[in-house]
Amino acid sequence: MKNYINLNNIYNWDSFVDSMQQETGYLFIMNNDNESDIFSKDRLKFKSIKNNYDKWQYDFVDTPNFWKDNGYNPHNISFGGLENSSKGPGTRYKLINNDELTFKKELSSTSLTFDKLKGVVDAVSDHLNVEVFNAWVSIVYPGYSVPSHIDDAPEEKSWWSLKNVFRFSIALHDPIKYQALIIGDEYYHNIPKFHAVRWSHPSKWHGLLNCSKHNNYLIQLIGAYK
Amino acid sequence: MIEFVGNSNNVINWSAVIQSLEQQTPAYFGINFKLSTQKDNTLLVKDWESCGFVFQEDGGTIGWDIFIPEKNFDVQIVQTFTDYFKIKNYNNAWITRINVGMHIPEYNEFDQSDAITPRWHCHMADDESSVLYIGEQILYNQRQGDTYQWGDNKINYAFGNISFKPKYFFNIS
Repeated sequence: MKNYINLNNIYNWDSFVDSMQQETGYLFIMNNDNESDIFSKDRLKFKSIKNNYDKWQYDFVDTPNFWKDNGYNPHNISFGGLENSSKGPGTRYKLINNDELTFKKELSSTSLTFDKLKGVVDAVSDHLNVEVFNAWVSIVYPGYSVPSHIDDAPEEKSWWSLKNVFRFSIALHDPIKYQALIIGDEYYHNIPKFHAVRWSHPSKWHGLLNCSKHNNYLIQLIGAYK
Repeated sequence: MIEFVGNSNNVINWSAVIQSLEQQTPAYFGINFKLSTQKDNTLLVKDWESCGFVFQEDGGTIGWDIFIPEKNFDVQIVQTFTDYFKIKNYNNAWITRINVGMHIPEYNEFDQSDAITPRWHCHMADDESSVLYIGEQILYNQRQGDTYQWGDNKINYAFGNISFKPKYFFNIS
């Protein structure tokens, strides 16, 4: 039996979920030449989705080549999300060679935002007495998955050594069969709606698997206990 | 009803079987085979496409391979397996391969015309970052050789592989 943190009563989640679907999100696609295929599918629950290479290059540094070297077809990796607007300018990695998946370090800023996440961050921070460093909504489409990986953005790695660091994944819908969150050796199925999984550590290998006919939505929070 | 019936690792060298299959072309692509077994496959295709599944042949993530005895692997493996688990009658034996990043998705079994028969499956290698759903059962972190009996070969199942190596299952029904 897994232990989940019940966050059901700390926030107006239904309103959040409704408003989320009116927002513009970003889409991670390793290669963008199948972008039109992705957009032709009427399965995105956000108002619109934009391919955001800046975001991709910032959040995933060595991971794309790692996936490619381990048998993944770059065309088959796509997932999306919404990000907190409070994140300011920072270091980003610009893709300079798509074939080799090589990157150039430069300053940039996150262009796609979702202010409603601030309400969630404030509610969770108050309830659990934590400071949240980063927050986003992840979306995984039917029949797609996020391959096993570690989040290797330099900013994120810099938090790993903090004594009270945490990462939570909060389910935004009722449990859907054939969906799994994998964190290290732990497998999470049927996460109750508006409940959080607390990761043993944010540096863990992880992935999301979606064999179902429905999108998977999770809020992802990283921070530290005060 | 899914039941663990034992581990076959002591009687079959599954790693050697996998090594041999890695050099071969599969007998069938699983989707084509699955659709060919349906009395009316338009129902299944419509069901899958309506929720956004994209087939491997269209550049998507829904797909698996099928290997069969004699053509791809020694029929003696089937004999050893059925002897070990005391399986007296069976109709088919095959090996399924799900490559990295690929899925056997949730589906509805539209074709219920054939008789319900038992089925067995064996994990041919240790599980890594993959999940097998059979009815209400969820299997992961299984060991090489772990074998399960299904009471019903028509039960819905699904599988996803987000690890770094293809996943192989030996099947009998």
